[in-house]
Amino acid sequence: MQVLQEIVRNVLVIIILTSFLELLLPEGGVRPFVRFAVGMFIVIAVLNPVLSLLFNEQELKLNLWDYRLEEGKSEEIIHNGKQIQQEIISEHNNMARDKLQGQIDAVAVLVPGVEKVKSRIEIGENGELQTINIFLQSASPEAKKEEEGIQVFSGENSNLSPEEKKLIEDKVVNIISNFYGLSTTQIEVEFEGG
Amino acid sequence: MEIAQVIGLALVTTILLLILRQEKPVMAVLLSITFSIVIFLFMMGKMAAIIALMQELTRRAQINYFFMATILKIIGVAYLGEFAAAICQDAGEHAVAKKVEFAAKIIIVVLSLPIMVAILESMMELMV
Repeated sequence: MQVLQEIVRNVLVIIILTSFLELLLPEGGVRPFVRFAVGMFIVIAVLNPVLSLLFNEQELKLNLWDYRLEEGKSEEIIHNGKQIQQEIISEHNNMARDKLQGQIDAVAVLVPGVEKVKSRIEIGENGELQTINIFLQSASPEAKKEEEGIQVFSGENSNLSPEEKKLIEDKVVNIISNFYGLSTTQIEVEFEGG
Repeated sequence: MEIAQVIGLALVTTILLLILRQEKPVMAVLLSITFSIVIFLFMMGKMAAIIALMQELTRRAQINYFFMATILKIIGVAYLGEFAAAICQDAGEHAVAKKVEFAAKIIIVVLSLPIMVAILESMMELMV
C-alpha cells in the first residue's frame, strides 16, 4: 500500500514536471521533436516506479544508463578500491619475490664451490628490485675432492679460506648484478656457518 | 521589472534594425545577433532557477536525473537552433536556417536515443 502511495505521488510530481517542461518547449519546426523526447521522458518516468514494483531488478537495469554514485559512498568505494589494489600489488610482489628468489638461487648455485644458496630479496613499491641478500653454503673441500660416491654436505664452511670465500662472493655478486642489471652495492653475499 | 528592460531594449533594437536594414543590412544582422546574446545572458539567472527547481522535482519524484538532464539538453539545443535559424532567416538566408534546424533535429534525436533504448529494453524484458 505504501509503495502504491509512493508511486501515485511520484506520478503526480512527474505530471507537474512535464507540464512545466511543456511550457518551455520552443516554437517552430523543432517543437515536434522536443515533444517526442519529452513524451519518452514521461513514459520512462512512469515506467520506472511501476517496473520497480513489479520486478525488483528492472529499476536497476534502467538506472544503469546513468549509474551515479552518491558522494559519501563514492569515497568509500574509492578507498576500498585502493585497498584492493594495494592487496593485489602486495600479492603480486610476493609472487614475483618467490620466483626471483628461486631464479637467483638457481643462478648462484652454478658458481663453482657453492653447494646451497638461499636468497632474500626486497622489492620496492613500484615492483623494482632493491636489495638482494644471498646466503651461501659452500661444498667442503673433502666432498669436492670425491668425484664418485655419496657426497655429504655438512653445512660447515670453515674449511674454505677467506680468499676462496671472497672469490666466490665476487663471482656471485658479479653474475647476479649482470643478470638482473643491478649495481653491486645492492647485492650482499654472506657465507652461512662462518 | 526585468520585462520593462527587455521591452525597452527590444523597442530600441527594433527601431535601429528598421533603419539599419535599409542602410547597412550587415550591421542589422550583427545587431540582431547582439540582441539575442544580450537577452540570453539576461535570462541566464532565471534559467538557472528553473533548472534548480526541476532538479529538485526530479529528486523528489525519484526519477533518474540522467533523463531529466537529457531533456534539458534537448530543450537547450532546440532553443539555440531556433535562435540561430531565426537570425539566419532575418538575414534572408532561408537555406542556412533550414540547415540549422535540420542539425538541431538530428542532435535532438541522437540525444533522445538513450531514453528510447532504455524504454525498449524495459519493454523487451517485460515481454519475455
